[in-house]
Amino acid sequence: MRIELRTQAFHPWTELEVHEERMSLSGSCGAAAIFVGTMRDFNEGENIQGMFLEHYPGMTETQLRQICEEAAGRWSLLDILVLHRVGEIRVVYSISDRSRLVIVERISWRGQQTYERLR
Amino acid sequence: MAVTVKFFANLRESVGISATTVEYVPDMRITDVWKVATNNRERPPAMLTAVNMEYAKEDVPIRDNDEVAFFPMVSGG
Repeated sequence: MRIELRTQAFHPWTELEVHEERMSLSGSCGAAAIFVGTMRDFNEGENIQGMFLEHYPGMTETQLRQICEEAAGRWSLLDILVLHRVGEIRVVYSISDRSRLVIVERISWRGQQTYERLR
Repeated sequence: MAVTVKFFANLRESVGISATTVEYVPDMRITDVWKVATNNRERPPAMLTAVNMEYAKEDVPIRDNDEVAFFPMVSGG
C-alpha cells in the first residue's frame, strides 16, 4: 500500500507502470482497477482555468490511509496505490486483485468512500 | 493550557486567520473553541470539524493541547 500527496504534476500511467514493476504485480493479478481524476474546464456553468485543492497536512494522509486499510480489510487485495494531487487536481487510484469480476465494484466503493469522508 | 485552532479554505478567509491558539478551559467543547477563536462569529450552516486530525462532532469535549480544525463541506465529482 502506498499513499502519496503530490504538489507537482505527474503522469499517472507512468506512475502505474513503475509501481507495478516495483511491486512485481505483473502476472499475479487478474485485473487492476484504475481511477484517474482530471481537472475539468467548467463548473456549475462557468469556465474554469484552474483550481487549487487545499489540504490539511497530516489529516489528509491519515484519512486516505484509513479508507485504504478499510478496503484492504474488506477484500483480499494485492495492493493499493493512491497518488493524489494537491493544488491543481489529478488523482490516481489503483487497486489490484486476482479476480476481475469484482474489481469494478471495489474501485467504485473506494471512490465513493473518498467523497463520503470528505463531505 | 492551550488549544491550537486551524481554519481552512473559505472559513480561513471569513475569519481572517489560518491558525491561532485559545486558552484551554475544562469541559471545553468544539463549539466553545469556535466562539473563542472567532470572537463569537456566527457559525456557518455547514461545516466540518476535526480534533487531532480525526473528524469529530461539534459537541465532542476536547483536552488540553488538542488541535481543532474547521473546514467547509467539500463537493465535487
